[in-house]
Amino acid sequence: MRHYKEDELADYAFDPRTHTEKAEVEAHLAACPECRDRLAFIERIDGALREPVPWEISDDIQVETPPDVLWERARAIDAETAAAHTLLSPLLKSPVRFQNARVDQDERFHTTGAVAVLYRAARELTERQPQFALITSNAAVIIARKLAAAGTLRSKLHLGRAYLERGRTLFVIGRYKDAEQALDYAESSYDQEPDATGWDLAWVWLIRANVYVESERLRSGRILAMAAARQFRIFGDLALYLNARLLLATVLLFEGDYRASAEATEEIIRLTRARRDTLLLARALQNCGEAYRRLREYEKALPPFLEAHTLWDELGAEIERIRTTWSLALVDVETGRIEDGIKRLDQTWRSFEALGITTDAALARMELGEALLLVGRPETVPDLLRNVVVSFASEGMMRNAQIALAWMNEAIAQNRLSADLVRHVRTYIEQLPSHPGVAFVPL
Amino acid sequence: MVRGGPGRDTPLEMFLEKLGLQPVHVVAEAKRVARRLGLRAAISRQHFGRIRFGKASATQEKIVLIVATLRTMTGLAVRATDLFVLEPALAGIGTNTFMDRADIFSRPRRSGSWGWLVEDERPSASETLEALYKEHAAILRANARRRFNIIAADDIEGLINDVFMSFLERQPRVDDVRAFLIGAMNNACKHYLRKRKNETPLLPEHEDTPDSSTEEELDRWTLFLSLGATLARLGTKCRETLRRYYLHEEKPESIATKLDTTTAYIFQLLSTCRKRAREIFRDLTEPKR
Repeated sequence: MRHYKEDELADYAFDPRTHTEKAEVEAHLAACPECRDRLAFIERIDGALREPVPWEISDDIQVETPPDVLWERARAIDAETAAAHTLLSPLLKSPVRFQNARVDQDERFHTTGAVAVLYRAARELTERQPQFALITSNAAVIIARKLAAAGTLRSKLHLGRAYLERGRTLFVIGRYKDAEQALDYAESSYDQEPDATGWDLAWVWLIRANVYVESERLRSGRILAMAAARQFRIFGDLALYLNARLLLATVLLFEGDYRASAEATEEIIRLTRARRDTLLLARALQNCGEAYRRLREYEKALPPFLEAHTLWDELGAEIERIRTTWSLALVDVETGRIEDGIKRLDQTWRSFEALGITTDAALARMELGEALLLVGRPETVPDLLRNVVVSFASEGMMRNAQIALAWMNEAIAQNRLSADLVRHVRTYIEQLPSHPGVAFVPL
Repeated sequence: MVRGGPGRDTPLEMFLEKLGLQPVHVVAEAKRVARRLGLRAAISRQHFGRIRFGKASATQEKIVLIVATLRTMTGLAVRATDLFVLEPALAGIGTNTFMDRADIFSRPRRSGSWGWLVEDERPSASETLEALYKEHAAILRANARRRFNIIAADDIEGLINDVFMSFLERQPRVDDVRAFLIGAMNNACKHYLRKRKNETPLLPEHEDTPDSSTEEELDRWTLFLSLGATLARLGTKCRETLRRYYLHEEKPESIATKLDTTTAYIFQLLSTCRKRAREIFRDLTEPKR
């Protein structure tokens, strides 16, 4: 089908009644959504030219330079940020050095610039060194509160932001309740700041939505993610808009609507490719693969998993690369390539363990055990599962997980290990962060 | 048949609150949607209020209407299950399907939305300011004056300064700086009007925050502001020809006579100027990184 050029459509839009090829254009438009979209754009502009408001706006517009008050503020921000960078950069290279410096008690660091440098540092540290990110964002919160109490914080936006980063770090660590509390404080700081906008609140909602989704409050998570997506779109923040949409697609996956989730992530992948946002693209590909795996459409699941794997490699995102290897292992097992799956699961748990990611290593190990038991190769399973350890920050969760593992060890000792039994323990441990109070019930 | 949920914290109420939607606007929009859907009746404000707080039930038709209305207003793919505690027959796929599935292996471990973490070096506030102000201050001024009817020039300048100051404080890395600044200006204007509401009553469309205008309203204003900026960038000849033809509805023949030229030339000029306007509009509105 030959599409009409924009100029041709513009000629048609100028006066459709007298256009020489009226019938042909209209027949084409009836069958071509692309040309219809282009024509709609032309008509939208032509239509708006008939309204007085754009003309009045254009008459008001004049080129001008910023007033002194803005220059003064810009210079103050730059000077404070530069000074804070000089003081903080050496400390932010090492958690020990940072803690020893006690920046929250040292008045040299009590500036709005230092608060901003600290929460931005926390943001960058969260994935790689979450505990360091936490102490950094805590320092930002403490200093921001002191400055706010003294009336010397330039804007409460910074207090909200400091709390927000603390909330995000706590979420990544898995301390969901504390994360929610930090987000409450962030929201309340923004409520007190007239300059806070829907964009600032949308950040809080997006992180809160992540907390809700991880703790299986899916409906609340979905509503907040939708609200966040809308505000990000209004404020022209496409990256965060797509992040919020990816979370919505994840909710669909968790709700079991795999088809809708796959379609939503395909759309996000398309938009993300156009923006060349590799990190978000890799995450969307991973989620898309997962949705197709759940649909058992493995020929559609493999390409996104493999592409995600390559992207993680390019990005040097080792943990995510291992997670994708894990997904590929599951595809192998489910499509009958058991030996390949077993090899990849073995690779997965060893890689996690080498990085000190204890709980995921334990879960992958148990999945390997299940696979070996399912294919009738039980010999190595007792050794594989005997020393499984997990690590949770909360004492209660740790105790519950140890009870489950002790029960599995007892089964190993009594030679009554089965795939169902291992799965029962694994599922329980896997769901502990979202259901921390649920006690273990043996099969 | 269907409950909104007990007490004030119904899913519907949470949705309205988080999206900053006023019930009065929802009910008004529902009337229009009901007409478009060919429904027998819309929904009264009182009934909507009772449903919202879980004090009344909603029929299937009302649920369809509310969902369609909220979709129209927000542009989001809202579902009935997001807003109502539905009985299984209405709910479709339950939220626990995932938990009940017979899969052998585990779920994805992370919700997968942490793609924005690492930020590049940002330019200094002073480096940002000049270009930003020259490019956008006039649009913000026009927005305050035209959309919010703020008349006092000094007050408008104060609001613009506040918006730029808070932008410099945040230095957000957004795709569309214009949209961000317009959003922040809308917010600032609403605060301003709210503070002065004894002198100047707030119009219903200015009432809410964060931005709760309908998609249609937002799109219309974004179009007007961007087109205003576009027209300001057009050459004088183009501007005046388009103004005469579109705004003053003069015939090409009459424009030709007034400009002492041929009608064919005016047609040519209109075609070229419309094309130029579309190019500038695209350049202004398409996201730049």
